[in-house]
Amino acid sequence: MTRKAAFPPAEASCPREGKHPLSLPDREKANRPFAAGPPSGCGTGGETARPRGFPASGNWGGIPPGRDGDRGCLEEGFCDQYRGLEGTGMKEDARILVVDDEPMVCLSLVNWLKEENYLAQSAEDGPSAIAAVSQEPWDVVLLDLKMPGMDGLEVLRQVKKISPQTVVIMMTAYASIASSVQAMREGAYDYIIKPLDVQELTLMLKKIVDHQRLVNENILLRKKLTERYAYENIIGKSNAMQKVFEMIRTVADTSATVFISGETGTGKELVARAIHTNSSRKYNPFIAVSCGALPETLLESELFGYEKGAFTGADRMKKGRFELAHGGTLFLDEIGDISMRTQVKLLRVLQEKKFERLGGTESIEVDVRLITASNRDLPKAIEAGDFRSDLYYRLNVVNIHLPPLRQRTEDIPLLIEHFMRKFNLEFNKKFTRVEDAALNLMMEYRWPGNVRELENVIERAIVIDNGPEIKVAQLPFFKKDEACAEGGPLTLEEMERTHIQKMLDLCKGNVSKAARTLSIDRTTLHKKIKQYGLSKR
Amino acid sequence: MIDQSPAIHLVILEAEEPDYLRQVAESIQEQFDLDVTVGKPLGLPTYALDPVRKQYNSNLILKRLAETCPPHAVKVLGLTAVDLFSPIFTYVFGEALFQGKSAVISAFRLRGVPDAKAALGCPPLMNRMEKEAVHELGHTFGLRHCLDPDCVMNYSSGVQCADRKFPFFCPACRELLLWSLKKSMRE
Repeated sequence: MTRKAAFPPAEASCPREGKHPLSLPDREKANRPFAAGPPSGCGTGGETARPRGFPASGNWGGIPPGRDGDRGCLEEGFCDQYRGLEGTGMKEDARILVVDDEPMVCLSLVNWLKEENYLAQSAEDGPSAIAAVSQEPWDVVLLDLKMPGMDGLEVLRQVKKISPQTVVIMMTAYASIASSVQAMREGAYDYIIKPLDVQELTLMLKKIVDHQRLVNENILLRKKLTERYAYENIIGKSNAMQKVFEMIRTVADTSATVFISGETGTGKELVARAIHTNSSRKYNPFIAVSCGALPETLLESELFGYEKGAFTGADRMKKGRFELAHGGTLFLDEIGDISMRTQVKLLRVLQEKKFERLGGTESIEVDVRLITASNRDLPKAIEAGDFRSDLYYRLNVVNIHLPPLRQRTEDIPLLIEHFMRKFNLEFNKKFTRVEDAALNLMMEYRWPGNVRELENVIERAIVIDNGPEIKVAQLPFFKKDEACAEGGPLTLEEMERTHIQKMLDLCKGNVSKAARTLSIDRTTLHKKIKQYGLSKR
Repeated sequence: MIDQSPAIHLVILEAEEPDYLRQVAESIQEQFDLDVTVGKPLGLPTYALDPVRKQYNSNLILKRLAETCPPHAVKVLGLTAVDLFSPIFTYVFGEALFQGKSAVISAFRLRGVPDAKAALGCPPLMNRMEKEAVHELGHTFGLRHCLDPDCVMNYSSGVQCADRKFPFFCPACRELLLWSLKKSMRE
């Protein structure tokens, strides 16, 4: 039997008077979805009536502090993802499987976990738990230690075998140290004693969720890094580049020392990274050092590190790049620029696989794969006495030569497309093609700065215009270089002659005007015209 | 005469109507915009008593409440003064079946002292019961614990936490509740 509660309207419910923290208008707004009847309530209102964290103005229907913004914008048809999640409105923090032979425990725990914003399900015995883990990924399994049939430890072993990344927390009503230690040995994350301490379990789950988030982020970042430096990302369909790819594939998984030669801007570091990324050392550090950028003494301390007090200012011990690259790859760029003294030390490391920090006596052994690169012609440097031949032979176990861009012009359209895509994303532009004339110019250009120069040209073209086509006008440097491209480098005299002729043409043969533009006096200009045999038209 | 419009049904699991009943019912009516009906007192839920723990199993009460829920009621809330426990926790202020039909709250622990006698200077029990009732019913409508410390759906690990929150929903939980209510009515 039921009876309808005959509760008078709130105006008459004096016990509530002055208790409600919102003023009447605010309450109306706050309660708007339900304010079907006349306004009710008799709150006192005023500034103190405002809930903490909300603005002083009347309508505080915004997003409360610390809340997911999605939840504050609900209209008819709002936030579709809510509906997919049992109509609860939030993305669950983690997927948790509760395994316990007592249905009441399962029910309570699943219920509580759902309230705590987890996606939870239960399994009442070992085999169904294993089936659930095999079918779906679970972040956490809350597993009862003592169950009839297959016990918790056996389930733990199976779960860890199927899904090693799943965190398993053992639950036990009997705090047995021995069984708990055994569970931890078998790979359990922790154990909790029933009845559970809510705060302990809340903290434990939060810790796991935060940790899982970091692990996933780490995996994602590593994957991105691998993709970024995979050799597939080095662009080139030319035969020369295909040979380079083949060489990278061949040497990547060996520990052979590699020497990469090639002009500046050909992508030597990219190849070094690709070798590292495709090797078994890929999860260990890749350390790059530009030897040419550091003075001799600094380079030594950078490479080998130093002990505290080794020199003035060495107030603490510092590990060198060799130590930091332990287990990974050390890439020494511009190796041709290092001094003879450093060459000797480097040779010793290569021969003995050990070194001492500056000012130190203890030998440090490291497992480092060395990749070096230079744009200098090292055999010539050896002939000139600038580079040790024994070191060169040590470094040049495998040689990968990167051809200059002018020798693989068939790669230019591919590279342009690659950089266009890259800078479109970076600068939010929509360049889709290159004007034929511009492409011809780029194909004919000698590219002294190689791929790096091409990258800069495309970046500049995309920055200064809105597209969708890269035009000749966006490549002004070609005009300057025309003379250069036709007949090779100009002498200063040739340059002066060309420039004076250009000015005379521009001023339509008016010598006075041309002299003013060139900031020289008329007499000098006349002398130059005579000297170079220029035409005044 | 019984009104058949959708309502939240209150079940008194005591011998007599408690003094906080009126305020709890008013608050539910206001927050959920549904009629509230009250059943006659059913007495203590002896079927849920665990003789070892000397506490009452809230899960069994929830199950019984859901089974005996009158047809007009969208949700049923049990009110009791006995000490409740959930099989996984040492005690609970109240419990609800998440997105389910039933919820139960107890005044026992909300009094703030283990012997269930009112502590000196503690806020009125009825305030806490009101918040707990709205909180647990919120769970039956699919609302989860809210991070807003002022929201009634904020998790209370103790009576102090229950005292600092307000007896109503934050705007986000309110909107979610509205959507859930609409869905319930459609079903």
